[in-house]
Amino acid sequence: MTSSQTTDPNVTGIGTSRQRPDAVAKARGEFEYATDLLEKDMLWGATRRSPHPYARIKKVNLNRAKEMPGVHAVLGAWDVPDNRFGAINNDQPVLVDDYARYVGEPIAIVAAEDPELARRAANAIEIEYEPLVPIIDPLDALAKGKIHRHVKYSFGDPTVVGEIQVEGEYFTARQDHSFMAPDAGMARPDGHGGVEIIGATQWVHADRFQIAASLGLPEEKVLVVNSGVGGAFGGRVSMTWQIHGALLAMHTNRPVKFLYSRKEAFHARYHRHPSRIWIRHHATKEGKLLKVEAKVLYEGGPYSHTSAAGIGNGCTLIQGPYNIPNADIEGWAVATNNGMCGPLRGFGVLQGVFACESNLDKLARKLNMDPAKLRAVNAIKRGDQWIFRQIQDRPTPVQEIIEKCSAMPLPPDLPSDEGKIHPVHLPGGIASPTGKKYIKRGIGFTSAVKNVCLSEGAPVNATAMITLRDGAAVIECAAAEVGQGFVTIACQIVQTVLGISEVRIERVDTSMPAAATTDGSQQTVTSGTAVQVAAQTLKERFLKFVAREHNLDVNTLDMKDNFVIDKTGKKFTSIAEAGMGLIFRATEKFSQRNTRPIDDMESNDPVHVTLGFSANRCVVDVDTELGLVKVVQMDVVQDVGRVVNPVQAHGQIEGGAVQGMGLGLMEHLKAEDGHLLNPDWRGYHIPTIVDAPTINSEFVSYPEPGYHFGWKGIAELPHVQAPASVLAALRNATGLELPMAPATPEYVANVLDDNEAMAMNVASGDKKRGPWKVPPPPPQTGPWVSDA
Amino acid sequence: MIIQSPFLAVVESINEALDTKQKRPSSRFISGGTEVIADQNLGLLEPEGYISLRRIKELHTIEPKSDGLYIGAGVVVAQLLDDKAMAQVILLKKAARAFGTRQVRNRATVGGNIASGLPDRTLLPCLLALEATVHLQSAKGKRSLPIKDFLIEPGKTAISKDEILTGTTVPYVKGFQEYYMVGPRNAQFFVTACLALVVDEANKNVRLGLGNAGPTAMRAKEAEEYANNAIDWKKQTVDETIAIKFGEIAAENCSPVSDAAASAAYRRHAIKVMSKRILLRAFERKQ
Ligand SMILES: Cc1cc2nc3c(=O)[nH]c(=O)nc-3n(C[C@H](O)[C@H](O)[C@H](O)COP(=O)(O)OP(=O)(O)OC[C@H]3O[C@@H](n4cnc5c(N)ncnc54)[C@H](O)[C@@H]3O)c2cc1C
Repeated sequence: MTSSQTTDPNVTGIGTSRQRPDAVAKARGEFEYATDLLEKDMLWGATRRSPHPYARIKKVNLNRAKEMPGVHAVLGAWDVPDNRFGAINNDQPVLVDDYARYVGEPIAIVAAEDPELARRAANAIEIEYEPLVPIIDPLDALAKGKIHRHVKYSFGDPTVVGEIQVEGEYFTARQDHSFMAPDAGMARPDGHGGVEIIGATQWVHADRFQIAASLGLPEEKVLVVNSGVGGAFGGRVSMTWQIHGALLAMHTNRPVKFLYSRKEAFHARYHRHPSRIWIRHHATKEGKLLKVEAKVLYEGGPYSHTSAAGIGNGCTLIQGPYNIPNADIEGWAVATNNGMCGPLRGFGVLQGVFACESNLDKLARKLNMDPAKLRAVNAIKRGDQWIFRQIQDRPTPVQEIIEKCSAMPLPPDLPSDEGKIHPVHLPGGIASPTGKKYIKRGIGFTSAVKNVCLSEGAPVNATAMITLRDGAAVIECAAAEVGQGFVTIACQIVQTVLGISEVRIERVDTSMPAAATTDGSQQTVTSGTAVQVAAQTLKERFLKFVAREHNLDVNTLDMKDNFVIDKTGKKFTSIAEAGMGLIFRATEKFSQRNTRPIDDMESNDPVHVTLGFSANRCVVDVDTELGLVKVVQMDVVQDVGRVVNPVQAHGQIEGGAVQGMGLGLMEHLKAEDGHLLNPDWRGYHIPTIVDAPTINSEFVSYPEPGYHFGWKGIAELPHVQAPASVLAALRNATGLELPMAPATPEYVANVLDDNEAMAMNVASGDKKRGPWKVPPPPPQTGPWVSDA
Repeated sequence: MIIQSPFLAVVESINEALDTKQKRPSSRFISGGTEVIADQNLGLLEPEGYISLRRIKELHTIEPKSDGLYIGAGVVVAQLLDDKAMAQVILLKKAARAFGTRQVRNRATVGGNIASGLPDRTLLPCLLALEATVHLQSAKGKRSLPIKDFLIEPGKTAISKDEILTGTTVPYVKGFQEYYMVGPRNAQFFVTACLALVVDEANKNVRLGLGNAGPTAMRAKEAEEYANNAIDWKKQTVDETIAIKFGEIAAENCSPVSDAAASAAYRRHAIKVMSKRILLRAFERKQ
């Protein structure tokens, strides 16, 4: 048995590129996505949604749907035991009762024999609405006091004035996660009065908590299983069909499957908060930053969800990875009726970094300074204090990253012989009207910071259990695998700690103790650390047994290459045999350090657990007359602490960079009068491999203190940074200000007409410059935000 | 209530298709289904059923004839790229390369593209510039009409409910042919705006077809007229001012829409710039 195991330490453990267990199945199309789930006797769920951005529900009549043969349940708001839920605050109805507050908000649900029947039954429900005037402009929402969270703080001396001042107003659009597998899953009765929810999620335990509460059940009666994830990117933090499925399964006593169409998913999902940020940097003539001022406005949906955390991230990390001694920051997450907003890779930080980096571009131009140099001069260092009163107490290789990135080789110019250029390498691609003489090359440089782990007082911890038997280990840890690679990382950690090659990780469900949410780039550093600590404990237990059994000094023993070895490295006996068929087990919990809310002036805890840094140099070819763009190359250098799996680490950088480039160039979910204009892939475009640039990624690795293996979260930074980097390169090529991501061809070509208002409508019409006036919030009038 | 799923009749001849259509008038013809199925999934149409034309062999031919190249309605776009005979109508070959993705090209038919009648379809401006003829057939008989008379308004064509589009005849034209498009991303997708230029050397004229520049694909008649007079046909040259003017006239006389992909102003601008560049290109190659 042992002979089949690999004993070469170079092919297992930390630092190797272990392949994902589902890699082959996915490549061959054999992987079972949640969309594929089937069960005997299952029913199909369908959802009736609001066609109005804001309306009073006058009457809901379910009877016509109930009477249809083959329909097993039709449920409305009054069928929900506790009809208020939410990721943080319970301010959101499971099914609309009094007011519908966005287009696509669920009002009633149906379970029927087949999907078509379920859809028709949902349509047969009679609903009377009294349409009301929605709030579609975030400035309007601000003026009316529809505010989820208001952040205001200053640092140093906020009255300081710099010799050089540069200001601007910047916008980012509503971005969709556009993961491949739409919302889908199965809810089934467990036969004991409880319910099981099987589908894609980023945090089984948070889902269980919300589902159980809505159903009026104890958590023990709900089992949530993470299964068949086809992409997440923050989107599966927000529940969509899960509570509905659970209700229908309980009512019908049958399994119920939900499968959203792409268009339905676009309406049901919680998108990236559109942003509008005014920012002013003060600097010396030499380019030393003195102060940053900002007004940060994030458009949240009508319900609070995670908007408070998003605006907190934005209002702190708008600083960028720079040392700035003075600051004056104010921000709001406001409620509009344009649809829900929630986490998306780089949550809340992307928008702030975009504004910061765009304005620093302006500063560099004004000072006539190289943009990389400007950033290097101001790079934050270990021991510096952030504007949110946190000491940067961990390795801070920002300057090194910037310098390393700007020293990477640039791509060659387009060949002079036009015939040699394949059109996919040109702006516009195949059949593009472009040609070498129409193309200008631009180079942009940015650096960025992203918090690793949830911040501002959110507890971040994970528990892991490891079992060792016959030289092979099994890990149980409820950290959701959503494609980021925890399933390989966790196994590699155990391989390294226990010196064994055969390690497997179990499917994730809520019968396990809770792990951290797959969010904030935190899974390796949190659940990974829990796995490492548990493996360490297990190792001690195992070696103690071996020492006692063989009458040896435990301090002379170690585990390596599937063997128990002594100090000299001599193999004593195989781990499989030394265990004598017994089961060894350890369970450990790991907690990240405590954090505090920004405005908690008493505590000296940090606001963010830790911070990651990167730099990105982007090279674009632009047909400036037509606004067509080819992103030629992105060179990324990132601070990664320690690389656990190189292929996956590069993969995260590449995927993140391309997804961020999507927001930089084309991804814009538009809304008009509260209605989404392009809620499908015909109208909402994401980059494909043809659009992807060459991406060169390099790492700098300084072990992060507090973690045995010194790792750091990496997955969001490349996405956070890419839009700013692409736009910087486009500004360099075109000379335009380009204050908005995405820069679609009409912006890059600077051809705008009355349609501009709509395009700018991240969703706002008013384009007044400068820090906008904020009237005091009027007393809460009307039932606009429920309960609160 | 029992729900009827839409029926699917797979027919093997044009006559059988027409017969079935007469019996089930509210059914719909389906060829590649790349448009129909997408629309059905979006809830835009709920036909009683489909009559699949894919097995009708006579619709699959590409055949050089005396009056031009005959292309059957069932020919898929991938065939336009591969078939040897297509060398005689280089424009369609070029446009086919810019059409959808490989998967779509393998399924999408020429007939489906023409019958959709939508302004953003790749082949329509090309067929307009080539002055192609489309062939229709019903139980009552056959008729042929120029493609310009076939396109009426967005999604509405001269085809009547009981007619099948059987194919198109594309005249051979000697001279430069090119297709340009701009889209929302570099990977192939629906066009934001596109155009096709044909230079008819024998008759000394240029023909410019525009896509997504108005309610239907259209010819840029005014611009063509200007160019036909302004071009020095003897020397076979066009100077830049002529090309610029050509683009401006084309842009002035089109009427694109604003939508989530682009504003009308951008589309007009793209038509202007692409027209200018394509005319310069047509005549620069002569030197
Ligand atoms: C991902 C994707 C990308 C696409 N990209 C492009 C693109 O780049 N350019 C482009 O132009 N289009 C594109 N399309 C649209 C579509 O593929 C084309 O219009 C295609 O040519 C339609 O052909 P079909 O055979 O699939 O038509 P179908 O969907 O079968 O039919 C389309 C319409 O024509 C009717 N019809 C079909 N055949 C006949 C016939 N013989 N007689 C009478 N009526 C008929 C049908 O009833 C229906 O109304 C794309 C579609 C998708 C899904």
